[in-house]
Amino acid sequence: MLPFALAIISLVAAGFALWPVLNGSPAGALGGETDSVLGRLLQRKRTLFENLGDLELEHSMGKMPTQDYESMRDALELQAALVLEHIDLLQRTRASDNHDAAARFCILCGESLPARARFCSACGGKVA
Amino acid sequence: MIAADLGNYALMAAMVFAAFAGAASIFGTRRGDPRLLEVGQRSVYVMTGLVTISVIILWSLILKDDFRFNYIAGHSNADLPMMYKIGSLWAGQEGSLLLWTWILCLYSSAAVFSQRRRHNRLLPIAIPVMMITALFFLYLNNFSSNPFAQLVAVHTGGGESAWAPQDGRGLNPLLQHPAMVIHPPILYMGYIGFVVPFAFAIAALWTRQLGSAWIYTIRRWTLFSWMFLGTGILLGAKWAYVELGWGGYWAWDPVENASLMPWLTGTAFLHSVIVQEKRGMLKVWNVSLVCLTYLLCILGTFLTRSGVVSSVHSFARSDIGIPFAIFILGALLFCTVLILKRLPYLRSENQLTSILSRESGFLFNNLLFLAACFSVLFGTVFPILSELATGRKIAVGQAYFNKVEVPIGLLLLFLAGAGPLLAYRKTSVESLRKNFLWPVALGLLTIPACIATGVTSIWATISLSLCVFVTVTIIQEFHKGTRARMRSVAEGYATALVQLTRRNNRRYGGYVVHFGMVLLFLGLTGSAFVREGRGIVSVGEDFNVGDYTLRVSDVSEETLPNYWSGTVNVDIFRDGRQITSLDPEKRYYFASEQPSSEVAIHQSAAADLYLVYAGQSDDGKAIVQAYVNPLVMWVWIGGLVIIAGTLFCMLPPLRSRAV
Repeated sequence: MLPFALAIISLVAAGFALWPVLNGSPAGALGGETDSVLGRLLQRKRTLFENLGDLELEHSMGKMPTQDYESMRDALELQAALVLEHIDLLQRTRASDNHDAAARFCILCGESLPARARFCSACGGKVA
Repeated sequence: MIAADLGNYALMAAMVFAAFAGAASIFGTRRGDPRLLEVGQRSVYVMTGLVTISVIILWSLILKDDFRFNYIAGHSNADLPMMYKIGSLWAGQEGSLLLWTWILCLYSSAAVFSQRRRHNRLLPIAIPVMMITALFFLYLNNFSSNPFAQLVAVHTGGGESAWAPQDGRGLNPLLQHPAMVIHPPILYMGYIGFVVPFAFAIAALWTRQLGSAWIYTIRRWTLFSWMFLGTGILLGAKWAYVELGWGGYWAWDPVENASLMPWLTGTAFLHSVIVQEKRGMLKVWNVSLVCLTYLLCILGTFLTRSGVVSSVHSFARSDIGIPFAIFILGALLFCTVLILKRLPYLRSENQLTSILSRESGFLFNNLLFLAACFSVLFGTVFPILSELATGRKIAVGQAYFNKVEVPIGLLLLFLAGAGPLLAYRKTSVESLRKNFLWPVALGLLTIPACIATGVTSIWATISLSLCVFVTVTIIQEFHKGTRARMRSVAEGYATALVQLTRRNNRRYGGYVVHFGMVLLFLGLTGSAFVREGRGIVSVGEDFNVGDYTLRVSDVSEETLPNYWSGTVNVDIFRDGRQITSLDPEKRYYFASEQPSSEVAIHQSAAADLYLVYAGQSDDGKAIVQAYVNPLVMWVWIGGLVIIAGTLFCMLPPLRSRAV
């Protein structure tokens, strides 16, 4: 009874864990939105906008001298503009691409890839 | 025995899958194969399932009173109420280490499940880090501290056979309290929760992805763990207050200190991470604090479980110290080397420009938290150090802790009020005058008010003055923010206040937490005014403590299945009027052959009247020990406010950019 139960548990556990390899399907992409270049930029954008909101609040509550507020706001807005531009560029490149997105972006880090690249220049991952 | 064999097998198989999860994640990353990465993730789920099976089996064996098992015979008995039988899973070392592993598995699975589509680079490194921790605890579960070990009878001829006593030794009477049933799991949820931020910090260091992604990922995890750790500490304090019967709730016991230390570094991290988000500074601090908090969590478990220092948790003595020491030192070495190697990636994006700036405030706050942590650590391990040096264990005592921690605590309380009033980069004199005027004025006015009401302690006066100062700064922050919103958006005061707090929930949730700390400090300050008295009285006689008159009206005894009980009924009078009756009790537990005091407390916002029945004198009189503990209730209320504020911080904001 016990060996039988242990064998069943082992088989079910191993089968569940190894299913992605056992089912014979080709390697697919695993999400990774936050780790991709676009994901990182979107997160950076969110941080910058949060910081801008905080800065405005601090200034409107009279905690910051206007001169400091303006220089910090300008610096943040410049960074935000650059990030937005980069995001826009990436999104337009993706939209205008006729090929499979996975062939042009690294599935591991999201870095954009040259047409016939076999390895990602950013993370060294093999191109699927 | 099939169930026990299954439990043991599940623990062993969990070890295999933990190792496999880590290996598959590493190979998946190196070979760029998402299928292997998914195998690694699924292995984490399998490991969790297997450990869950072990936990369920142990629970079922406890509930069935199967005393063939050493752990169950040592920590449960047949007449133990169901609630305490469930709690006996974590009453001893073997069970509580299994609980540690189980919670770690659940956390690891939750982290993998929630982050599997977000972090292709960080998660495959975070998994091995979590799995190494899991492997260490599974090693202890399997080889050092197995909950399924069975009792054997050794015969005179040298042979051995399975043996089971008629009944177990029972749960330690001190642990037979409702707070103690939930205190360890909640404390562990705090301790172990810090493994996930640590895993992502190491992954960020390893992959050199030290931007904001890992900070975002761990922000809520850290808050969640911090909240549970704090709640666990307060529950432990509440248990000590109502169960240990010495009149207080905090005694700087090594195990209390062990849980306080990671809470202090975790609090420091929650503050300094804001500076990294806003100004790109204190990056080395932040990774160091996450690593330190993790190490202190493991150290806390080690101190609780190893018994290397004497404590009220003396039920937890064992010989698992060496594996723990090796693991902690190994992890410390690894973290130090990794942080040093990644220093070029942790450069600050900005410099400190003024001592009167928010960044400086956060830095001072961090330094004070670390000073508090290391002074507690020094006092906690001093008996070990003194034994190594002189061969004798010398404890530093409460006086050392109070002398060092009270000034640090008060400085931190000051910063809780002053910090938010400072501006980033630098604060102008005009701004200082405008923002500090009312808080400082009202804080200073508290001092003559204290003197006028007879407060003689300098520390208590400073503390009460700072409580007022911080409360006024918090009210001012809410008010000024609301007014600013009213100026920019046409809203009434109430709507503007709600919108402001919901759109900036981290900031205002943080202020609510600060207010909770004010209430906590108010409660702590009350300990400067404690009064106590001892009455050796017959039925009908009375004695006085503080403003109270205590009259013994009855003394009774009864025998219950689990214990013998002696109770004294005391009528409480104040200003000649009876306000209540209290029934402190003394118990003697049959299974464990141990006495225990069940204190009786009359609680009010102003003071607690705390009674302990110490038994009968030689001439048959009741001995009643009484304490008047002012303001203690505010410690518990402060804790609840801190929890509410933390939960508010964790809410998703209405939108990211708004006043």
